[in-house]
Order: sequence, then C-alpha cells, then structure tokens
Amino acid sequence: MNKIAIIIGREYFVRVKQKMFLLVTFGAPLLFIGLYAFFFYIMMKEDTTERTIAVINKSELKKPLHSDETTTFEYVDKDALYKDLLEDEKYYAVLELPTDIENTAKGQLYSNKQVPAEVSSDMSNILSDIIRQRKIDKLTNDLQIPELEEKIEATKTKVHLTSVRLKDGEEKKSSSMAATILSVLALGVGFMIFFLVITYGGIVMKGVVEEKSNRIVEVIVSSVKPFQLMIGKIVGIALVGLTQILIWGVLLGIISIVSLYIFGASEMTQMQDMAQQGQQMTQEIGSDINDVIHEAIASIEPGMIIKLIVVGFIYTLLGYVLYASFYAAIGAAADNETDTQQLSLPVTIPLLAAFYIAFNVARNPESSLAFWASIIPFTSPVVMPVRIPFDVPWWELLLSLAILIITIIACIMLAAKIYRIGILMYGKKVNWKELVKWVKYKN
Amino acid sequence: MLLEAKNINKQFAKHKALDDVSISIPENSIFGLLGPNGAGKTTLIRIINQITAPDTGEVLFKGKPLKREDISRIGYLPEERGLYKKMKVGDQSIYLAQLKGLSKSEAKERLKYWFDRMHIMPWWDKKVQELSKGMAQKVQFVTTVLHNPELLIFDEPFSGFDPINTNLIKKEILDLKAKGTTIIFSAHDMPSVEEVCDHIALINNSKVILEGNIHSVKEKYKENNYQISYTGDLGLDEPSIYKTLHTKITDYTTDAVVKIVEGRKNEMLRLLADRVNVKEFKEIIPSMNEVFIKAVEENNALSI
Repeated sequence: MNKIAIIIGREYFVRVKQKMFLLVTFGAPLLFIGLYAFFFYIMMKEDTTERTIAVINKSELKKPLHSDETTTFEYVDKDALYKDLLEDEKYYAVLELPTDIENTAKGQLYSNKQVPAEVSSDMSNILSDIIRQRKIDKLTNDLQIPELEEKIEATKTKVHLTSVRLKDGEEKKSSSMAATILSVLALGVGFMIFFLVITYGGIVMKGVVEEKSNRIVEVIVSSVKPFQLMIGKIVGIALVGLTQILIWGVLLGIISIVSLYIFGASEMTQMQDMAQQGQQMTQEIGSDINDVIHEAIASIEPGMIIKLIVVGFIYTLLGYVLYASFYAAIGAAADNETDTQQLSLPVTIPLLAAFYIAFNVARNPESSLAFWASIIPFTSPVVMPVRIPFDVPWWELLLSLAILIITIIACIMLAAKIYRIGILMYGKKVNWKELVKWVKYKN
Repeated sequence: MLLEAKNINKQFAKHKALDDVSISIPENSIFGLLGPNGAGKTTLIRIINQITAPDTGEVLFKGKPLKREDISRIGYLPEERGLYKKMKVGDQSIYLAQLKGLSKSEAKERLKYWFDRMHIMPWWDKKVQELSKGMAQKVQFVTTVLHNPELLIFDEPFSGFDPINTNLIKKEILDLKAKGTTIIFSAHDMPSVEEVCDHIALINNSKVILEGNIHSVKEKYKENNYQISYTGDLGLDEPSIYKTLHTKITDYTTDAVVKIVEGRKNEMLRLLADRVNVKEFKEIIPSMNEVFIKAVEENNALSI
C-alpha cells in the first residue's frame, strides 16, 4: 500500500511540475476568456463607417430619413437614374422610394457593395414607422375614433404558457426553456467527460509506453508488483486531472465574479442603449426572451444542477478508470507510440460512439437507445449524465453504476494481466489476438 | 546456501523457457549464470526476482521459500535497464530507493555516500537526458546496491560499459563480495566471469548443463594437454604414453603441446628426464571461453 502511495506521488508531481501542465491549466481559461472578450468586442463595436446614401424620392413622404453622424442622406432629383448615381464614388448606395410606397411597402436599395443588414434594416424600420403613423393618422381622420393608436396597440396579444408539472404531488413550475438549458448543460458535462477520459486515458498510455521504452520498467517491477505500478499510475494521473479541474473551477469562479463587477455595468448600459435605439418590436421580443430566460432559470431546481455535477463527477472518475485500464494495457503491449495508435483504435471507437449517442440522447432522452447506451458500461460514463436532467429513475442509475463498477473490476484484472506480460516484452509486434493469448496465461 | 532454485519449469506458449532447472548459490559467492542468448537466463533471474512465477518448482532464500517481502533483500540490475529521462538524477534515485523500502532521509544519506564514492555528486540536480550513457550506468549501479541487499543480481552488467567503467564496477562488485554480499552475475564476456566468479551454472536450451565451482568445472574440461618446453631431441611419439599435437622449434628450445594418456603423467616425466633437458612442463587448463563453447556445442550435438 505504502509503495502505491510512493508511485502515486511520483506520477502526480512529475506531471504537475511540467511546464505543459501549467500552460494548459492556466492558459486554457485565459484563452477562453480572450476569445469571449474578442467576440463580445466585435459584436458590440459600433459601425463608424461614414456613408452617403442618395435618395430618389418619388413618394409623397417628405424627406423621411435624417442624416446622423455616420450616414448622410442626400435627396437627389427624382428623375435621376440610380445607375448614373452609383458611378459617382461619393454615393455608397441609392435608395429609391417609389410613388406607391405607402400601398406596396416596397422600395429598392441599389449599391455596388453588399449593404450591411444593420444599415438597411435601420432605414426600413424608420420608413415603416412613418408609413404606419400616416396610416393611423388617416384612419383617425376618416373614422373619427379618438386614441385610435392606443386602441390598436391594446389589441396586440401574446399568450404565455407556464407549464406546471406534478411531481410527487407537488406542483413544479418549469418551462421548455429550462429543459433546453438543462440539456445543454448536461451535454456539456457529457462532452467534458468524453474529453477528460480520452485525454487522461491517453496520458496513462503515454506514461506506460515511456516507462517501457526508457527500459526502467523492469527495475521498478523488481521492487513493486506490476499491478501496483499500474494502479499507482492510474490514480496519480487521475489526481493530476482532478487538480486541473479544481484549478479551472476556481479560476472560472474568480473570473466570472470579477467580470461581473468590471464589465457587468458597462455591458448592461450598452444593452439598454441598443434596445432604445432599436425598434419597439425588437424591444418587445428582447424583453420577452429575457422574461422567458429569467423564468426558465428560476424554474431550474438547484438540486438538479447539484445532481448533474455529482453524477457527472462520479461517471468521470469511473469512466476514466475503465478506459485508463485499457490504455495502460495497450501502452504495455506496444513498443513505441506509433504502435499504440493502431492498438488503441478499438478502445477509442466506443468512446466516440458514446459521444455521438450523447447528442441524440439530449434531444431524445426517453428513447431505448438512451436507455441502453446509459446501461452499457463502455458508453454509460458519457451518456448517463446527459440523461440526468430528464428524471432518470433511480433503479436505472444504480443499475448503470453497478454494471460499470463490475466491468471496471473485470477490466482492471484483464488489463493487469496484459500489462504484466507486455511491459517485459520487447521487439514483438503485438496484435489483439496476441493480447487475448496473454490474458489466458497463468501468472 | 543463500539461494536455491529447485526443479524450476516455465513454459511460454509453445516455448519451454526453463526445463527442470536447479541451481544452488553459496552464501558470499559470486555466481556466474552463463549461457547463450535465449537460453533462459533472464527468465530464471526474473523468477528469482518474483517478476514472473514458475509453473512448477520453488525458490528457497536462506532455506525458506522466497516471499514477497524478500524483495527488499535483493538488488537487481536488469539487462534492459534505464531511467526516467526527464526526472532529475537525485529525485529519481530517491524514488527507486523508496520503492525498495528505504525512507527518504535514509535514502538521501546513503546516496550521498555512493554519489561521492562514484564521483557523480555534481549530477544530482541534472536530468537524466543530460547525462552520457556511462554516467547513467553509474547511477543505475548505485540505485541497485543502495539498499544493502544480501543478494545482488547483475544481468549483463558490463554491456555498453567502457573499459574504465567496467573496471570500476568490477572493483565495486568484488568490494561488495568482501562485505558479505552474494552476487549473481550473468555475462557473455568470459574473461570477466573468470576474473570475478567463484561458481558458475551454464544454461543451454532451457537446461542447466554444467554447474559448480569454477576450478572444478575447468578441471572437468581439461584434456590432459600439456605445454612442454625443452632442448634436445625427444624422438618419436610413444602412443602408449603421449601424442604430440603441436610443435614449434625456435633457436634455443622446442615448444610442444602434447596429449598425455590418462594416468601416464609420471611415465611421461621420466621419459622427458631421460631424453631431453626440460625447461617447462605445464598442464593446459581450458579457459572459461573454451569450456563454454565446448559444453554448449556438445550439448547442442546431443539434442540434435
């Protein structure tokens, strides 16, 4: 036992002290934040290009568009031809408002270059407003109805459906948005597990190959059992992974708190600015979405999030141990890293399959594929956490865990046999048939 | 006997690696484990180190069956040996010592002694990949002997060593013997075997074909050949007494190699005294190299 602790210590500290580990552990969140900040900047960056747009106004509207800091509208002769105008470098685009625009609600925008959607939608919004106002004025005039505008406004109706589930006799508010948010989260957890298992499994394999090709392994197994070396390696590398996850968690926590303080305020005002600049319509949709999201987040039970994290954590560990034992056996059977690629393919395939099944399961959590993939131990570590937000019955969860644990024990025993023989076997091209033979060896 | 292997059998798939192998290693001796490549030496050594288990047979350590705990009383330098390339020499040596059961402080203390003795102290904080092969070999030797094992096993210790390091390690091995350690020594290089070993066992085709004290083994393979040197004329061979194998006449003496018929050495001496002026009369003892080749060839001829 003591010797396993010594091995775990070496495996852990050698890796944690590596520059690469520090780079990835601290660099990845920074990169992530950098990218986020960059996209945010691009999205929030105001359009400062100055444009002059010629307007051929054949309609009855009186100079409907007004110039601002960036866009200048020039009202040209209404018999002018847009082609002639576009030859003039001065004009970015030509807007033609036909005589019957009030009835058809159609105008043309000519340009040499693609006009940004924002620019054209701004113009169309302003024009729509003016025309709408004229129509309302006309109606008010014709029908003599006071406060017609307010009355029309009052006819707009949007029905909200709040879904309430009965669970154990209790009413639980939920929304389809909440379900979506949860399943995205769960899919994130599933992806994380896939990523961690394949990365850290790979590190185990690399470590075993390194010991073998360094020729140190026989020195070590003259002091400890090969099994102790294998377990020490798997546990030590698991601790490296846990350290990394812990650091990431703490960093993300700190960063989100800090960014909330620093950027939170300015972000909010910018959003509000945008909303004010925009149209009544978009504002309404915006506040609608906000409401729905708020409602959805409010209706997510914190218990579910905790369950997702706990179950995700357990499956990460178990999935890692299962696949790490395979990777260790493969590393022991191979002579160098090139050999491992060929041998590890049959191990990587179920993991990849689990990853793709997880996407399907997120959309279709009640399917029989979802059930079987979360029971079969080679896919369950990735698939089961994805199902968690959709109320997996306890017996299914326990069955899945029990099968997984039994499989892990069996696989570690098999892997240990292959490992023990493989680490001392040099210069032999090993295939899967050979590995099966090794499993059958006694001692 | 410090270690006895009794009737060891080991089968790998279709290949029988060890066939009823028994050896006895006397305490405080240097025991040469010899044999051609693939004869089964490394398998036997791995069984003694409990890296693999025999199919049948047992290994006794000081008369008791070898147990897992005995591992800390054995030091093993395998033929396929190496170190972690990216780990520092000092850290790595401490790690290997801890695996043998030494505490960290104890390991440090002993390492200091050995590193000073081998003049490798300045490398303590260097990574193994910065060391030359010879330097790494010294580190490996130190980590093998550090825990003062009662039994040391060196599998091809000199392969890849330069002559200076070979001599250094040879001296250390003899020194360890003087301090009471028993050493199993597997090598291809017969002159070094002759130089350091007291006992040998020769394994060929998975079987022990020759075992014993190095002198008795050589005695067994001597062919009653004598080197004689004389002046004068010896005349024709007397087939009932001797046969000349080889003669070389120089300006002053005649040097000859003769085969004397079993039990007729005294007659031969008398004959020489009568006929010539004897300068030298010496029995030719075969070298270990010759013994090795002869024993293996005879054995191979038998098995064909």
